[in-house]
Amino acid sequence: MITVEGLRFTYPKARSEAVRGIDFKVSPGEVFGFLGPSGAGKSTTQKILLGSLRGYAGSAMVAGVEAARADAGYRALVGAAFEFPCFYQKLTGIENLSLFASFYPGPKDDARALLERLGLADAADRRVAEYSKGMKVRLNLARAVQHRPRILFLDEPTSGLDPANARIVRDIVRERAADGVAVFLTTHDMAAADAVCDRVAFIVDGMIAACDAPSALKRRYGRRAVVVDRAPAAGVEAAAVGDGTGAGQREFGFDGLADNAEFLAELRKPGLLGIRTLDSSLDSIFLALTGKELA
Amino acid sequence: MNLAVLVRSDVRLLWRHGFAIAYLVVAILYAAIISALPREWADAVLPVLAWSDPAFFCFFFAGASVCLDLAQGTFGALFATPLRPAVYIAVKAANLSVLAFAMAAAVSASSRGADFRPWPLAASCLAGGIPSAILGASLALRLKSINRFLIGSMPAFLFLALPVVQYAAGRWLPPWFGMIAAMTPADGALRLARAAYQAVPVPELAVGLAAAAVWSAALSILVLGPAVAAARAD
Repeated sequence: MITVEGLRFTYPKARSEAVRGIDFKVSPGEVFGFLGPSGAGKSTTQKILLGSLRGYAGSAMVAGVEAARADAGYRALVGAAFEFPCFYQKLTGIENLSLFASFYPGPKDDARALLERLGLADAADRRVAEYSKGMKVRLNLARAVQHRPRILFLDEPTSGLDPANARIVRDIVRERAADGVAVFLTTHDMAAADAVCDRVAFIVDGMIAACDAPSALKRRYGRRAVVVDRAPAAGVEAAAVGDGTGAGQREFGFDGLADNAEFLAELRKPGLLGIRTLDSSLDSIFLALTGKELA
Repeated sequence: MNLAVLVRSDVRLLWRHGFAIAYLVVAILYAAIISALPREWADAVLPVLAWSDPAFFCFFFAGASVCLDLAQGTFGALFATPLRPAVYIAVKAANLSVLAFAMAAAVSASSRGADFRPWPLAASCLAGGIPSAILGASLALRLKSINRFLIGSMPAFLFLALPVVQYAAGRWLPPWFGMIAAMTPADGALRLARAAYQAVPVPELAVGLAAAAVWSAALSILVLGPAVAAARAD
């Protein structure tokens, strides 16, 4: 659905490239996370894919059309929710949705049902000027999906949302993907990306540092081991319980774990608190690969 | 695309942003001025007031409306839709022109009762309103804020106003000034406004309408198009 090859872009009057030869693909039904810090090239790439920036080198094909030749037909296939949700402040939520829906051909979702799903039913007839940031973020998603696009561009779709509403947003994104929609999700929230994305790409300084499924990245860059956490026995110093990695902890490698007598013995001892794998988080992998923190 | 929803939403925004009230206040002010003038003076001034409704107010209100859109950040979302920006601006221009006609008709009726011709007046509002609104909206897209627009658009507005200078002081001005004034976007609107109150040769009116159409097309392609492209890339 989206195929990017050797994409490069330099803003007029800029000395360096904003995007420096990136390649990736997004298939129908896939949620693709585009992760990176501010200024990494995320928004530039999204603008190119939306047909707003031209004059790039390489290729950016969306639904078989080169993005530089984006026209009304191209944009009818696309839904976009930008990072900063911008609406007509003097129109109500439902009036905003109705106006934007009128630009698209074909069947649409019922706007009021969509608002109800997003917890905005009571606010549908209130002017957007009265909405909180979280309400605007949810209305932003409703606007992006209401015309049933085949490709969805979402920029920080859960920013400013409480956990319950963030979950509703993630559920809607997953449902659209299950219907075959290709989702291009731009964020610097690694936890949100981990929860919803099939694959993620780390972009830094205009280049992709890694691109794979979150689970594969975590396996590749994590340690293949489990840690047993146990409360120290009465009268025993905590540090003496484990292997020196910390109080009450003991690490065992994955290889032969089911037959590892020490591991099994550790499980039988009293005071077992828990067992955990040593997967890396996406944050730590990003830091390891790029030497940069996400802000 | 459902054009009716766009027209209705734009009317709603014009109302809620207070543009319609502004038109009403100006109409009352104009009516008061006209009624205070002797009939001969009122007849001379009325075409200029009728011209100013579309040419002046469509220019500034279209620019102000675009500045409001820019301040709210809605253009980013609009540019991602199949809507053609030229259609969006054209609907604004048409709605403002209709408001301008209502205002010009009300001012004319307050001065002359039913003694004016509404069709030339309506044609004047379209011929003046459309190119003026396109120019105002384009400048607002370039200048990006209401303050910069109010200051930066003055040269463009003076250019639009040349036909009025020629109308008021043509007998004291050199011939070349009249030729330049006749080639400006709102010249046709003034000829049509005059035709609402006095006899004007039909060919002159046809030229006025044709010139307004050519100016509207030229401004859309040469001024609005590049302004939209620049705003899209921001």
